[in-house]
Amino acid sequence: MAVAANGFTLIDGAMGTELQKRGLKTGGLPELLNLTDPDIVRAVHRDYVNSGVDIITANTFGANSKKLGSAEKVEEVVAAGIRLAREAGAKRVALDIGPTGALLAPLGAMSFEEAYGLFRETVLAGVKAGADLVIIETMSDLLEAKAALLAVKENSTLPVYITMTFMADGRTFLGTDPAVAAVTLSALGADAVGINCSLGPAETEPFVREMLKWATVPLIVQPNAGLPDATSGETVYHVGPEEFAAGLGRMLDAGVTIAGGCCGTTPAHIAALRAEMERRTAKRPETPRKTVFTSGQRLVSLHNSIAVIGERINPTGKKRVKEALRTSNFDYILNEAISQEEAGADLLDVNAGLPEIDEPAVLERLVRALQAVTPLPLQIDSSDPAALERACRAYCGKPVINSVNGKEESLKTILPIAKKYGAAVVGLTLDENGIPDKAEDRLKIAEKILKTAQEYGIPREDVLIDCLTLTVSTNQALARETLKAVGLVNERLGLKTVLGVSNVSFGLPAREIVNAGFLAAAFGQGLSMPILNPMSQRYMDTVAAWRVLSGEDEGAGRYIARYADAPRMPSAQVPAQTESGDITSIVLSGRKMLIKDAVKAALQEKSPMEVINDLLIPAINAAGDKFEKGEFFLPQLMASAETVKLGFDVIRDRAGTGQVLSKGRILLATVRGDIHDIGKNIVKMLLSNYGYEIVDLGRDVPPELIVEVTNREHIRLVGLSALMTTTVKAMAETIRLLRESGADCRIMVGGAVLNEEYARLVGADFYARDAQESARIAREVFGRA
Amino acid sequence: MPGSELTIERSEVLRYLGYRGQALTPELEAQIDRVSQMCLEAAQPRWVFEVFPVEPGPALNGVRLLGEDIRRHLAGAAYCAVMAATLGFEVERVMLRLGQRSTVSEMIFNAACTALIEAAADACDGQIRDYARARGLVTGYRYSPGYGDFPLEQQRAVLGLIAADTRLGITLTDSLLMLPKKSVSALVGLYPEKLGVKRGGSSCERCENRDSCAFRKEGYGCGG
Repeated sequence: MAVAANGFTLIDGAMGTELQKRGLKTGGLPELLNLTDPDIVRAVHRDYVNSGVDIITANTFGANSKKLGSAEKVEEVVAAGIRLAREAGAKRVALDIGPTGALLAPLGAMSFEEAYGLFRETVLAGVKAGADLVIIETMSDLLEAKAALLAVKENSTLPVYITMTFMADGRTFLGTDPAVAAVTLSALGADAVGINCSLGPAETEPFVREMLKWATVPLIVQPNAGLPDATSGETVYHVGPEEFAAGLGRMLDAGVTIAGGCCGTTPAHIAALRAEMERRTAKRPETPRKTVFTSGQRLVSLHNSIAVIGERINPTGKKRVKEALRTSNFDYILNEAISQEEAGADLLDVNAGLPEIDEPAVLERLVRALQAVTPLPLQIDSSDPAALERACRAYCGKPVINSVNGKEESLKTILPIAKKYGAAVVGLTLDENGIPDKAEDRLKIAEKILKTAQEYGIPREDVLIDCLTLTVSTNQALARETLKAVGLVNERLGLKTVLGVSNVSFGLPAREIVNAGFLAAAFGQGLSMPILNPMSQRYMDTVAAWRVLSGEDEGAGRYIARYADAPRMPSAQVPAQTESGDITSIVLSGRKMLIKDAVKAALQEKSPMEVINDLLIPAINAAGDKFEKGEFFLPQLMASAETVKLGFDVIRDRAGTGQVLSKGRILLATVRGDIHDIGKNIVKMLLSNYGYEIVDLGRDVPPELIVEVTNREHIRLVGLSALMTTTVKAMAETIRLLRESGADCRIMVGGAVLNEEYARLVGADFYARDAQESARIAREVFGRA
Repeated sequence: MPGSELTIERSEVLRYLGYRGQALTPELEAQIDRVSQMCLEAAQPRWVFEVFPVEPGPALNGVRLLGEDIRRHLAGAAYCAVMAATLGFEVERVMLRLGQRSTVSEMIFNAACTALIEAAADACDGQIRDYARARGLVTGYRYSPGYGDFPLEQQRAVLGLIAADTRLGITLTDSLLMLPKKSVSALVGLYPEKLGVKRGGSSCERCENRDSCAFRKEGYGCGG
């Protein structure tokens, strides 16, 4: 690799500032200047070459087909960009890749694969044009950064540097901090990771120091020439060349080896930076390697710390998880995820293993859905390599794979996936001969897994071992062997261990007691990551206690905060109420605390159907009447609906699902291009409490999908929502396609920009001005069953 | 510019929830206050504005502004401030999560965010007014792509003028929705004082939702 001086690599500075100096306006796409004003672009590059840089960044930041219109145009602009840099005398030319300009799901509308496809086109154009390396920069979204990085690694052999941009509070716009970025992008195989844009050298420095603690690859830094004042009415960069170079000098001393400039920097800034490099020798202090997992917004480190893995997202023995996986209506699972997080889980295990579903597709969707509602890193749990790969690809962050084992077949299919996606991997101590009884034999399998993983390039800190818990009531000696194996793996191999605790007590009464005892014993052997039900107070008590005993909870601060007020207040006594008047008044006042017991009491005297038809439905009807009369406003109606829903949950848990409710099935969707879905969610909530089954396709839904599901599922009422004038067109298109397909359905529409007249214009049967009206429409369509 | 000094008024949240003086339970009042507090904690209100001379056309830094209405609006303006404000993405995450837990909380959170982004836009507007006053100028009301015949399609160019993507993280979807959703963009004209431009007043005439607005159906505007 070419180096400027003493092991450093010097990159150029801003293009935009220099173009403006030469009289070019900021409007329009600067990449097109490669075609319209090549002399000016080349001249800017030449000034930077004369400042002594090693790498010239080609003027290709926004060269993707979303911005430029076509892949051909991308190829043309990239070819010109690389050529101009080359003609300016660059030693090495970097293909520059910025964000697509559109935001990825779940907060945006672009899919991961669409973003990947855009980056892929740019990368292929860069390879064809002869770029020497790729710089991915100014990323705010870790998932988009991952899409770009995968696009480079899967479509070229070029080295790739990647930088994200942080606000003054140390997070990107999407909430990723420097540590998470450093860990995740290092693990994904970037050749250098770092920070660019947004801030000046002084503001960037602490974030660079943080990254140095976590990155396992060289650090790259390209700050702005200061932080412009947002309220001065103009954009001015105040930091001059000397101050800029001095600021970067401190970061070079700290261990940064690749540096350049971003907005507001000039050839003079870069020349001054070169002088700083010539005064020093590049060196990167050794940092201890740590076992660490990330999501886009969270880092979990096992450095002097244990981490609890929540086990609840698993269909084994759980009816409602199975149903959620079968229907891909994940609401129940997402609530379980949030509950486990609130109960203190540090990671969540995610298992979608049901024989009758397309596990790879469902696991991928589930991982995306979970990441939209919880910041906890995920442990992706499957025996199907295809499911693991798709879920790892979709995952934002550095996940854990659960699991590989000592069998050759498992090692050679799972480890490459872990390597490619930078995942940590759990190795089970079993092989072709099953689970050895003796701890020493389990240790041997752990050694084999570690050795093989390292051969695949997986660092040892990313290998976790599960010594496997067996049922104590079957063979009482085996629990001790498992504990012993945990200790051996911990001491002899220095690897972190994972252990599911629940199986140990199978067949015994009061299982939590045995499990908690086993858990404490395993902690004593050095267990790092128990897999358990965090909603169990007893387990979490043991965890809290161990954190004090091990010294992780310094000064026992967390323990005291949690237990200082124990014993807790006894929960309020709820009088059993059985009369319908009571349920109605509970529902009308939205007192959710009371409804479950009231419904349980009613079920002692009435059948589930009677409770629904005689108590719950009349109660929600009473709330609807109040809303129609103006005595309730919408939040009050919805509070009643939520209260009723809890009542339904009681019945569902008792009677099983399916047969309880279905006055008819209604499809709901927010139309393509629209991601405002609160109105749709309100309608869904209310209709489901009138006893209708809702098929919720979500937001930004393509018309074709709505048509397909409506016909396949024989839906008789379709509800479409749109908030923007621009997306009403998509609504009209959806209705047209539904009619053309011959679907035997009625269509209601709603949303902020609609009214009776618009509803007619787009071809709907009904205009639902509010959620209550949608319930009236449903009654009209399905009758008063 | 972080707007940590901004507050959320309960009366504003209720107004966005369509409140018409119904009897409130203490539980609902407490929920509104609790959720509004969550909104304040999650929100990262930020804004930027940049002032451009109004070029003939009218145009700003070479970007031609289309439509009669914006031309009329900027008539006589020497300068035009381009502003954008946003609450950031964390509120959207919280809202997705709340939506899993409680539709009522989701609704309240949404209303609280609307109140807060309006407050942020007002704060930015106030700074533009100060900027103008210091130069002997007065400001007009905020005018956004999509108002009147000022095409929504110019949203991208307007945001581009102030680099709202790199400075605030605001991006557009293909259907021209701003993300984060709780974002505002606007042009604010800076006029010589003698023109006597009127500020404020009803803005319904320039609102893209005027035909379908629930507040207007009730006989009054949203106050925007």
